[in-house]
Amino acid sequence: MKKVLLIALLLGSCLLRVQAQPRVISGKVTSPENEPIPGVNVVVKGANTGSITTADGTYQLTVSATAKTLVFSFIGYKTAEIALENQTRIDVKLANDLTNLSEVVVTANAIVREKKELGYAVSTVAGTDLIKARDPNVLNSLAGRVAGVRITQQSGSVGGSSRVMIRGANSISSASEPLFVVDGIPISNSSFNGSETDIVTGGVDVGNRASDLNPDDIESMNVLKGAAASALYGSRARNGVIVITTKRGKPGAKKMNVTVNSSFRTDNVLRVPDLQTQYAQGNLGVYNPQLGNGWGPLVSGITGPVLDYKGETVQKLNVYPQNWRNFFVTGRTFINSASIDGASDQGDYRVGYTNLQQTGTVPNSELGRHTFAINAGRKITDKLTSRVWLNYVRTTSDGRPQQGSNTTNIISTILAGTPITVDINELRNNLFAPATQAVPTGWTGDLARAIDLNGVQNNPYFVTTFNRFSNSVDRMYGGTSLSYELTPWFNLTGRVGSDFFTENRRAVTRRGTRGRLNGQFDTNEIYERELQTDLIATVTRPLGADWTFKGIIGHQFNQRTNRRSRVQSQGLNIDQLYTFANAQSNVASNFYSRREIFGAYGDFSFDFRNYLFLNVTGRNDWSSTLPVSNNSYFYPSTSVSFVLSEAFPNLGIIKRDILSYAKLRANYANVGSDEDPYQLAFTYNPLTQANDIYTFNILYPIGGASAFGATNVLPPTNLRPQQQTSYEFGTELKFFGGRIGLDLTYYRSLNYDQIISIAVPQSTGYSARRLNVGEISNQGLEAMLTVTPLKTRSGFRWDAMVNFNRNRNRVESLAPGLTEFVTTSGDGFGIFVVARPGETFNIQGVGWLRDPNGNIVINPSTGLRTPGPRRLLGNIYPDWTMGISNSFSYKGLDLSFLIDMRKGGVVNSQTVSIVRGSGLAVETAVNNRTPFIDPGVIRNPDGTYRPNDVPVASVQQYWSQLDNSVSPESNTFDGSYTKLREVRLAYSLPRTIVSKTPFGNIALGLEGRNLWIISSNVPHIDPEANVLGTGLIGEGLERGSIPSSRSIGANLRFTF
Amino acid sequence: MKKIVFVGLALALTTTGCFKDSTLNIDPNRSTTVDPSLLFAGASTQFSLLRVAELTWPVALMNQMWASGGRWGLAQAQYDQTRVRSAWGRTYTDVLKNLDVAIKVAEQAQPVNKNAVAQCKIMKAFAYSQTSLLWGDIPFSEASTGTVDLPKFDKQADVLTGCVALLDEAIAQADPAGKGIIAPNDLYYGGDMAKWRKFANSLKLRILFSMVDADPTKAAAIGQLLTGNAMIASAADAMQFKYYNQPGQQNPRFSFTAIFRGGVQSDWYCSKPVYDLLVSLSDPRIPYFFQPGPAAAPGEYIALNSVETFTTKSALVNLNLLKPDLPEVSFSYSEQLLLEAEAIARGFATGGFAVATTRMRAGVRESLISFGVPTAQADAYAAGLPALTVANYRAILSQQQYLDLFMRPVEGWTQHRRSGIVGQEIPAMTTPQGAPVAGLVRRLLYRSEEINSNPNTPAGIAVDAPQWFDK
Repeated sequence: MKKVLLIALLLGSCLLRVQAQPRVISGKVTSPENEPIPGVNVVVKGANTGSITTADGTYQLTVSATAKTLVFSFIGYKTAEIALENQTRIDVKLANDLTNLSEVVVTANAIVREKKELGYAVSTVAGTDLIKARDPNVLNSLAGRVAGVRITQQSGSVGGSSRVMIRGANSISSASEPLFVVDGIPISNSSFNGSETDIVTGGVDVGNRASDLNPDDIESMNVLKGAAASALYGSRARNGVIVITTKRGKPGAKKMNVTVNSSFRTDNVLRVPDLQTQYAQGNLGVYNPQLGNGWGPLVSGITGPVLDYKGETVQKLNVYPQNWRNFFVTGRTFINSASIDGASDQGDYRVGYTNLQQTGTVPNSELGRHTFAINAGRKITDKLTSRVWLNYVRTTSDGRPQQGSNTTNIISTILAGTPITVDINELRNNLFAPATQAVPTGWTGDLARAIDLNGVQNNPYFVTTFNRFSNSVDRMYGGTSLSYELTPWFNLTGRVGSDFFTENRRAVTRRGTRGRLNGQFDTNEIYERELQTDLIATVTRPLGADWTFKGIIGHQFNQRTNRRSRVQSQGLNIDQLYTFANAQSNVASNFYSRREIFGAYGDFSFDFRNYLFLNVTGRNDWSSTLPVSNNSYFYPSTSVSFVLSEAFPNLGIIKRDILSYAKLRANYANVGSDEDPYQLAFTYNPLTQANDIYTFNILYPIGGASAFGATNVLPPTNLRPQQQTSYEFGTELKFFGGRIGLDLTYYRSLNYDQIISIAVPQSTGYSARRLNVGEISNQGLEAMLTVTPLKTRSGFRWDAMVNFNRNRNRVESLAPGLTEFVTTSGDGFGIFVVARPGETFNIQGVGWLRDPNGNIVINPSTGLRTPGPRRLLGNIYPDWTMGISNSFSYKGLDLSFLIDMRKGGVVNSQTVSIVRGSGLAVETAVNNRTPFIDPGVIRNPDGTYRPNDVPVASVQQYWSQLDNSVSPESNTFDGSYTKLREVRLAYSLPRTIVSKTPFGNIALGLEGRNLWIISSNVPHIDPEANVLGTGLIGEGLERGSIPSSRSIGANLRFTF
Repeated sequence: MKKIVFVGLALALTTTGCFKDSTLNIDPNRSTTVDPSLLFAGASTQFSLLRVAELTWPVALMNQMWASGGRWGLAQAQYDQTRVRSAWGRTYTDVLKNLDVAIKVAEQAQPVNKNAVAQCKIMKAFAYSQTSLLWGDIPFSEASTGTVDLPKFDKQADVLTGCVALLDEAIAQADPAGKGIIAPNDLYYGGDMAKWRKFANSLKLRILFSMVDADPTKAAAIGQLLTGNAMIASAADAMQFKYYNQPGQQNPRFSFTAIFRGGVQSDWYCSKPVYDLLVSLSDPRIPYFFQPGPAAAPGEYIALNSVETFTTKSALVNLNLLKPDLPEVSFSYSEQLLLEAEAIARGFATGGFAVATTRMRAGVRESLISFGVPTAQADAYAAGLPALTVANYRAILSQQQYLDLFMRPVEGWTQHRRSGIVGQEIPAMTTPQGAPVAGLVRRLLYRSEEINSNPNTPAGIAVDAPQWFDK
């Protein structure tokens, strides 16, 4: 680490050059209404020296003797150039600029463009928005802020992952995760977590690697949503691109700007199931301490002496109604960062360090992250400039909880079965089983205390204390570029960048764990590396008086390498010694893959009088993963932007400043993409295990025999690249000088020739055949409305923003004759995510048997529902999503809140199924558990139906029948919700106070995130949870998820 | 402008023809060649695992060999088959396909590895016949090759006949003097081709017995097998897949209890039809089959009917039968002896009831000993069984064959279905309360994966519809 710091210092010192004979200029910048304007860029013309105005509009700047002119610029105002002459104080009043509300945007391959040029929608989130309320996973800060981008937090686990989806799902066979690009270099957002089975049976939410991005180092995040915007990124851009630009040194009043930020926040579980508080464990009202449920008699009716859950005779049992909530603790997060930056006309530099320490809501879970960032640019000669940027991130975590089903360590499942007569505090202080509690014959050594006398479910504290998942990630990403200006109109840039990380994981289960008595551990090492080089030539030339031409030609090489090794060790001879030699069996497996792409691309834009822009791009890729005969593919895009308000500045409404700005845009694009590596040959796989539907698999070698199996996927013949075509229309309108803004986009995309493994009958001996097949489309509407309803002379300002997205995802076709494609099987119990032609992705499972009128058919002998055929239980994606934010500012005070809404889509909850089936949910205790008549019909012998008149055999049987394994229908809910996502209050200390301190700026902030589920139709849980994580297709399956958390925190930021 | 075009072309040229002679896309994780013994080990391990685990529990509960006590719900006892989820698919993709590929590889070897071909064919016949006896009509002639996209469903009679033919081919190819798939990859016999040939003949006997009620002409073939005297002839010849008391290699029946119940058997209960039969025969196997419930008195065995909820007094399947290193038995000597007794008693082979009785007693004795009953007690019980006569042989043999298969539900279920015409099986059973059909369960239902992708899958068959063999 020392090395990195040393390099940073060296770079910093050579970049700073003292200017000769400096003098200090100061002043104040105001609006036409005489209000101070903070944030105005003040720079010396022709140099890189400059400053920014503070909250009261004042600035101070040291300039060299040669400086002649100062330039003042700020969005929404006309740029002013003031000659310096001999003045030392320059006050400026900026004029409103109602026509040229120009913004620059970083687009594909780090090409910077003015926003008005763009023929496609692009959304930008400023870095300042990411650090006002901090989230350890920076992606969460995008939630509700960008139309067409959906962020779903997967669990409440510390360091948990977040899924990003831009404009709907584009593939039937893989998760539609966007590409992340930092300063022109793609980085990994991997969330590799093993097979589907590994994930749904006791998987840990390992997070997604984009969470390594440090909000403090981000200047801006641009979301390129459509293919036209991202075509130059090539194959991987079809799911959209998130372009991140990191901070660089900025010119300031001093040679060195120091920024220090300190945040603290607390996390508490947002929602836990509502439990009944009356009934003990048992069966059909008879007390039985062997069971982990709430189907016994009223606790108050049990008169001693009875055995309790640990086998001790007690006179009376007590009720502990808050076990679930009491189990979780308050999580704490500290984020401290410091950065130094500066700039001169010779170069710029920035060095940042951020430290994050977090403890989770699950006891003993913690996360730590150190981030070092360096970014330095240098003007070597007038024509040659260079830049180097480097980020080192070390993330460690411990005690992330397991989720899913079918293993012993799932906290939520344990809690969902813990009888209310068991005291969670007693479990906390007594991890081990007493001799009276189901000790297996001949067992010696520590044994987990169970929550039931039968010894089935472990004490959750035993799990969190001993059975821990830990990992560490060492990651570097960065690059270097060299840019040479051959002539003023011809520029050649070369760029090399890489992102690589090594992650070590270990999950241990201690000896004496119920269900895994002999203990086990699982060791994983993951290495990923991405290397990219770019060579870009840029030409900018006027073509006559009205036209300007800009042409870019580039070459790209991209290489991705993946290496993984895993050892599964079972049976520990010595307790808590997790070494391979101490295990009775070790099964090792490894994996390696490498893929390469060569790309050549061109981007040509024509600018007519600065109001009509035409852009044409083309790219050809050569991929290593496709058949040699078919590995080259070309794809074009074109886009048009027309700024109406500048073309016709004298039109009535424009002139009267009603419509201040109007732009129309349209584009069409095609993107091709390749295949995964190594899919073309018929292969034999070395097997590590023989599988069963349960988890106790047989590991090879068995009896000394190793085993191989021929592939289960028939390899493709004549494979072609996958294709996506899309078009988009949009408009940007600003009214009343920007008081009202509207950005509207309609888009449609079609993905075809997808490369999918299509299921073939298993009787063929294979499970699938790989081929080009299937079409899936998305069409949608994005709208963003910004309004400033109030803006007073006193400085009070109210800004409101609404963004809305409706995406219609549709599977257009599958292979001929194929009616259904199972993308993901949610768990072992018959719940699937399926694609059917004419539909979007749906959850499918056994539904209740219904009569022709749709009434549930009741079994007349039991009064219970009857499982029927499998059917679609609902769309996994929302019909629409909306974010509403409001911010109020007055002088240095800024209050804002963000509401996030989702309408439609379904959620299937295993936790709901368990708390109800175990008789612990509050609804299982209503009406003294008197059997009732379930609304439905009974089939008459003649085939007609009559209303059900048979009461359920017992309330216990009623709720047990609703279990997910019988039919997931009753545990599948409308996933609509409204959430108060974020509230923040920021305060910048007035200049008058700050000026008496050594600080340049002091800002305080209070923040709250994920504060309140305002409305939801899912009982007991946060509707956002999803066990599938970011790597698998599908959402809306909750399996033993850790409840999400509500965070409240404070932030202190000051600059020197 | 010219310059740009030139640079562009130059860049483009450097990248055309990419990866032409590249080895980059050659998979470093998998092989493009393989030895048949490696495929054989995987296929047989997977097959054994399905038999001993996924197929054991639902079949044992549906066929009332074991009772669930409602511990995992009563649905399985009521013929719910959702937990038989992967057996169909894995049998075809992980067992039969790999055996098929192994045969092709062995046939292409120079010289042809005939013994490996024979071993794989025997396993194929075993797997296909088992699959057919569970599901009825199944893909056979067009299955597991990858060459036919939508395999047709062959009639059960054709499948079983085809299995016998496969066994005949294998018996002809097997050469005890030569080497085929040997230890450790032959997990059954360690490459002993003489034993493989014996098993092939015994398996033929079992398959022919499953056919003979529907096709009486098979009686002659059964007779020939007995005359040929080339079948399993001792406990040492038995076909079994070994498990070891080491993690990852334990019998899954043990792992199940270890994983879900911390090693405390509380899932599999004593079923009434089995218990009542044992009591009626004063059978010494009761304490070897079962253990009293934790709250029951020593020696107090309380059986459950198939949809009854357990209590702490309910008797359980004996933990000794769920040990980690117990093998999965594919063909036992006792099964052999009892089938021979049946062949003689039914007149398919010579010897008459006297020889049939001797064979039957030997088989019963062998069975008792295999469950741990002391030899003297086994001898006494076997000797005490009535001599077989025209009037009693069917009942006595069916009872003993059923009990002999107590821990082998896959074969036990076939045995029960063939023990009498529909409604007169031995031992007698009634349809459990809550079952969706009136009759006893007689088949597994085709899996949705196959139904959804293969239009040839027969539709609309009830779980109590008898299969072809079931007469």
